[in-house]
Amino acid sequence: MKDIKTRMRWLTAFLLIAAGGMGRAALEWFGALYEGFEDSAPFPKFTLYADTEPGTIPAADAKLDLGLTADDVSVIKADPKAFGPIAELMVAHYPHWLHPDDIKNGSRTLRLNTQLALNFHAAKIARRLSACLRIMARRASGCSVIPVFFSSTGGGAGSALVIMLAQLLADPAFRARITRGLSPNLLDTPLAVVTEPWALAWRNGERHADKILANAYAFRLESARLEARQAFQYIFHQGLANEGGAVLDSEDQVSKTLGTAVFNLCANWTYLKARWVDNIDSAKVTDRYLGRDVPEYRLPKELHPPYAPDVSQLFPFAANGLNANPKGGSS
Amino acid sequence: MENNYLSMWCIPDQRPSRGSIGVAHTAFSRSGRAEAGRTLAEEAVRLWHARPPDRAHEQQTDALALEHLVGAVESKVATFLQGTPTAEQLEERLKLLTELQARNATASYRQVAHAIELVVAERTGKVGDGLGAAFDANPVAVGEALAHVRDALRGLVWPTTETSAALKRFDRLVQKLRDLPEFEARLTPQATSRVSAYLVEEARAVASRATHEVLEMLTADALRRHLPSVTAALCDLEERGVRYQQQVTAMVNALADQVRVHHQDEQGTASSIALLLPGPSQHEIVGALMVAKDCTDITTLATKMIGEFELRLRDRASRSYPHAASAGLPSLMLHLPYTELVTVWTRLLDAIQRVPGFSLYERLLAFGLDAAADQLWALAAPTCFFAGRDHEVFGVGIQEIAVVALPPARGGPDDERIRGELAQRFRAKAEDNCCQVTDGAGSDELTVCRILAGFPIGIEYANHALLQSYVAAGNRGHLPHLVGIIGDSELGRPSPAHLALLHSNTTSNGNATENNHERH
Repeated sequence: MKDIKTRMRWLTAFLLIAAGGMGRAALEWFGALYEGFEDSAPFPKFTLYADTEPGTIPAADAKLDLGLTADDVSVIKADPKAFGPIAELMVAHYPHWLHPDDIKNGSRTLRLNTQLALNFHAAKIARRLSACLRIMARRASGCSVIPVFFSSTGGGAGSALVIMLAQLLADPAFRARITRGLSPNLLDTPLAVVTEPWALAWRNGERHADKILANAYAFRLESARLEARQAFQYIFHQGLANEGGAVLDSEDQVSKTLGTAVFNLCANWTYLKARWVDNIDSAKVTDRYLGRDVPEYRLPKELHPPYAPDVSQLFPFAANGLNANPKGGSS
Repeated sequence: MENNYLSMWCIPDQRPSRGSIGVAHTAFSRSGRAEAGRTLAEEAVRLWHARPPDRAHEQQTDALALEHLVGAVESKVATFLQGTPTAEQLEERLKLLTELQARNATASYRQVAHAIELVVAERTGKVGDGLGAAFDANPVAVGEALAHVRDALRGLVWPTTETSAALKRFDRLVQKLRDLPEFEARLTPQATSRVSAYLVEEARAVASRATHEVLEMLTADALRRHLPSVTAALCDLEERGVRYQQQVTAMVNALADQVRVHHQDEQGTASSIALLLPGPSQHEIVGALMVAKDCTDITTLATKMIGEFELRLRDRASRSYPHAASAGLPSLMLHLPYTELVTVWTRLLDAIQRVPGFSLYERLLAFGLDAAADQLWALAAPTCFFAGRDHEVFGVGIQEIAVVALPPARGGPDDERIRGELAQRFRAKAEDNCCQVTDGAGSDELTVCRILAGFPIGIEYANHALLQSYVAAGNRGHLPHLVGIIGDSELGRPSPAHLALLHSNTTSNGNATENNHERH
């Protein structure tokens, strides 16, 4: 890490967690931008590359190696109970995903493999995150630390890691474990910058592309659940194209956009947050969508699972009322 | 069970905390730059490989010959085994040499062995250092150095026996001196004196030879122990030579690849987030670099670039390689991936931006500031679509903020003014002046980043396409979910409620408005 020469003016430091292959590629772009500031650091940061595949890159300050080996699989199979419910589930229902020859090749588009690896390495993850926070507390004293996840949402590793790590950081017991002895307010709620896997999908045949895009959809569903539990401050999405002529259909463009976006978010955080705090952040508390074409309305009642409430009964806002009548019906 | 039915599609339940970021940047047409990078790299490699080889290792290897080593050892232990012994010291010297030859672990032996160890370790270490210096001086000439050291090692002359003949004779002479009193009665005092003087003289002469032979044997022992380190240094040098060749070849190939890629890019496959500005030709770049580096020929230019390249590599390598401060360029090159070597080399060419006529801002002015700002702004538009659902009437208050990173003004006389004008143009484009213009010191590219924030993910239009793939992949047995987050996803399988949602979408012909009216 560069010297934080003017460390006293910083209020925020960033724990950048590049997850999976796309995270790794984006981290290289991020690193090039960060290293370009030759005299002083643009902001305090610690970069952690988390993946189920081996290898690391110079831009990463540390690697969170979540790969499984044939030996790991052997002990998981021998005593799945010792490694938690996901290990039990995998051994009981999906043993074909635990072949020793294949396991060393990362998650292979199966997010469950990453969940298993995360459970298997739970203690190591807590230790590594705790170490990162201690390094940051030392190097950027007085700063609060915002974890920033960045990855693709379509692979097996990155999209699962963002969800699982955000879920862990939202767990008070886990937060307490990794911030032991540090200020309880050191760690802020994370934010995520994710890229939709369109470019990756185009590179594959239809069947595999469907799996990749299905993972992206699952990520959206799961992140919506975690968002409701306030596990994320914000989640930024990067799609395929815009109306200005940009089409992010190559890995190089996608990773460059992702790395540059993450860098700019961190470098301009004070400016951005000052503008979001009054409108976006308060809207998160008070404002809700008022449109009537909620897709759930289209689903016949007989298809609702028994535990699902009818959203129309919960829909309190008038379409044109701009939240003026929260108790009123929709008509 | 917790309610998580259609968590994403139940849009009114969601917090509007999603955002989208778009990025665009300037890029020069790089084929001229890539060609210049390759040409200068080839010239630099040619120059480097034509450097005279370092021959210091030859002397250091010659110094490994046993006679030289023993000479050094003798001077090191001179205080201990002081020259030729006096008559009174002969007994003591014999005892000492006998102990040394027998390698008895006495204090004297340890002291002599330690001195020998120091000498031999220093000499063999110097050979290793000499080989390192030969590699750093000219890594393609290491074959010669290897051959010389291997020949010298093969030519080493070793002691033929494990016992010193001189020491045996010394022992016999001292024994005779001891026995001399027994013969005194039978000899005249003059004869006794003559015999004694002769024996002492002879013993003293033999003692020197014996000392030399014993030290030679002990030094040979130490050299045998240390030779593997020289052999290891030879293997290491050989391996480094091969790796160096691979690095240089990979670097030059990568630079040649860049030429090919940039030519292809300019034929229509350029990055869609880049505003491609016409870049200078190879000759223009080389000419500008000569101006920047104050030289008039390509050889001097390449030499100066090698110096800068070395400095930058040393800085980068210092984080992972503790000896970076003292290592030569070839050693440094082995401690970084070749891709990084390519990056460092090509960044040397950025010096042309400091030459008037070649700066980013002058190129942008030539392109047209309005056109450049318009195109960058358009290319940086966020990449999410809402099909009109982001309207305020639906309670969605999306805010857009732009961050524009302008590199510092460098070479052009008007750079500062052009930079200011560009900043003004971008500020004017941003709604409510939400535009942060920053100093993009980290890059030579102008970067525009537009950030939308404040929508619920349920209104993003790609959800519909993703749902189709979700169902299709689920039907083929794919497990998209993590366990324990979506309540109705069993063991990671797709959520049945979402499968039903797609079914209802297709069976209802997508006529949502009609359905909504019926329900309300």
